[in-house]
Amino acid sequence: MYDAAQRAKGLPGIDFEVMPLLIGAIGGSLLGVLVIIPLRKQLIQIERLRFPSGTAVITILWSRIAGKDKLRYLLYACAVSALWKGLLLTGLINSTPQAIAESGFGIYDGELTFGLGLLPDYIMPVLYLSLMNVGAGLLSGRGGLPFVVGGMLAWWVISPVAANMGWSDNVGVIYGSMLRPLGIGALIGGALMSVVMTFPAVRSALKSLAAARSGGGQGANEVSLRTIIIVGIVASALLFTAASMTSGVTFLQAILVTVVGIIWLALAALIVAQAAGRTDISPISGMALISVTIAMFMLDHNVTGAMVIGVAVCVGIGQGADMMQDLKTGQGVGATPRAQQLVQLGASWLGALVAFGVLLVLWKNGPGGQGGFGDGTNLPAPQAGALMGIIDSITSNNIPVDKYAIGAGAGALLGAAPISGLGVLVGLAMYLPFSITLGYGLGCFANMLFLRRKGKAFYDRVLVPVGAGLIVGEAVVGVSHAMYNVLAGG
Amino acid sequence: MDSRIGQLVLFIGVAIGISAGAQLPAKGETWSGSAWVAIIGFIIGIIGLIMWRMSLSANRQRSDTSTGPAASGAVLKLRAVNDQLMALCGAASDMQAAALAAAIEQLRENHTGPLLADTDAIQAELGARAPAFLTGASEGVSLVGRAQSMAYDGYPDHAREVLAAALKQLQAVASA
Repeated sequence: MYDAAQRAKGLPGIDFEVMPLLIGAIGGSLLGVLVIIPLRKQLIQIERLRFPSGTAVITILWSRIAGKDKLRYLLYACAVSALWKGLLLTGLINSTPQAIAESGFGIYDGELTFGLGLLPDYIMPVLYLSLMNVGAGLLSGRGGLPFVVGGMLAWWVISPVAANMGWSDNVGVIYGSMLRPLGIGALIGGALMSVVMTFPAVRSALKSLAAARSGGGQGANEVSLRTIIIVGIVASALLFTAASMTSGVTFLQAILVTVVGIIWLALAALIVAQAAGRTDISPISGMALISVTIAMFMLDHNVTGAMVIGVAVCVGIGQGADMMQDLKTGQGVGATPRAQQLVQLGASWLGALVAFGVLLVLWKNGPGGQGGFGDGTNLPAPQAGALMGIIDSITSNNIPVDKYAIGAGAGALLGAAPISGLGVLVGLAMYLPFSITLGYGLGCFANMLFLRRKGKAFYDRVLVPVGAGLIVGEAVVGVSHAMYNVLAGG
Repeated sequence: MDSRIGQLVLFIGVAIGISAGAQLPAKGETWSGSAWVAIIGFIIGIIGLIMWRMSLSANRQRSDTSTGPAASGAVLKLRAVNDQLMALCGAASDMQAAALAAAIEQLRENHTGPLLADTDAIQAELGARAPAFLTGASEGVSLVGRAQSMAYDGYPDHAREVLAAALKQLQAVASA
């Protein structure tokens, strides 16, 4: 996409090389699994994060044992969520953007606008109509509140301040140039502080992994530190190979970008695991933007080299977040973490291989026989467009350093508070559209209301299967719809 | 000191800091004209954070001197779970797989499930001992889950072995 845009401007394009990207992705997938292993105890056993999708899988697995009531609630919620998602996909209840702009009310693209012309756009009166999102909030409850508060801070405090101080009342500018970069900064500051705050626990986890080598201690049910080190060396070598194979990257740059890439991947994996653990949402695209920014600086604005590191980090953190959900499920049903970790290490690279195959097919011969991504093709790839915007801003030296720095300060301050993950959650809420945060918040508030009125037993008996059903129903219809689109050719 | 005052000061400070930081800098500048307000906001936030942490620490000290670690609610709860688990281990030898699975389900719903439900309370109560308690108890609770899976899949002998291992694990945590 960047290549096409450069050529359209009459500039030389970039050398698109598949092998370095593929090797980097495989290295990243292994590293993503590795960095998550020492975090299991902290996030799953000590902080006991919900990981809503992992909890949903536990509920499905236990449903055969849990009795007819729970199974019934699960199936009802699943059916309601699936039907609702199906209805949204048909577009039958959609209004037109013009009608919504005039009346301030209506549904479009899965979102409900409810400002009615009374509420200003800059407080974002929009609700994402995803029952999966509500279900994640329902399972998270009070633990997800900092995320909701972060969204309110962004859109009901910062945005009105920006509008009333005359800085800007354009929602696009407030979100894209103010809140999003501040949110990315807060995510990083919050994660760095998390590393400091959880360091004793992670060190103890590493010690117990070292004890696993001799088959003793509490770490005996996890892969040993020796295995982690060996696989880590292999994965690092793959990442280094990928970087050094890229044209224009020197030997020293390849070493530097590999070391910094791995450190950043570990930090980004912690951010994504915390965010997914509390909200079921993974800010992978934000982490990709930072990865590319860091790599562009270290590689003297070499776009292809930065892509290699960006791909490795994205694949790695995606694997890490996914593995944490699996480990949560394993914790619930009594699986052996070591077995899960070995399977992930053995199979994670396959995902990168398959994804690259699919991308290449779409690149060469997409829907309607047309290849390529971006404007003027059948695959507009909006996230790639956002990444291209970042590359453009880096090459033109237009990086919002002040926003990243102030966001990082706020994230670090909140990360030092005695509520774990506060900085990351507030950063995530600023980074994401408020419509998502609002829907998730409805689930959290419903959980708290029911818990207060009906008690913990009601939560276990009704809310957990309902929340799980809402997640599963929408997921099944969403995946089925995507598969249908692929098979039907668009 | 009430910890809520510290929380409020922290959040006001962060809100001031980050709101001031939202202003876009003038063309060619790195920092906006309101960046100094952001710094003041963060200083207020740091004061709030210190107040919050000091009040928590004072509360913990008060709780330690008034009740003593031996009377810790989390440990007492764990001992109650262990009593139930020991009783189940004793009765399990006569149970068929389905009955054992149902009995473990009862144990999970009424005892092991609620045991670790309020992590914040456990951390506030046990302080530096909380990570070891939570990690050890989580391992034991996970073993109870495994025992139930085994019983339901028709392997009661394995389930009984794992239940005994869970009891051993949880007893070790309670006596630590």
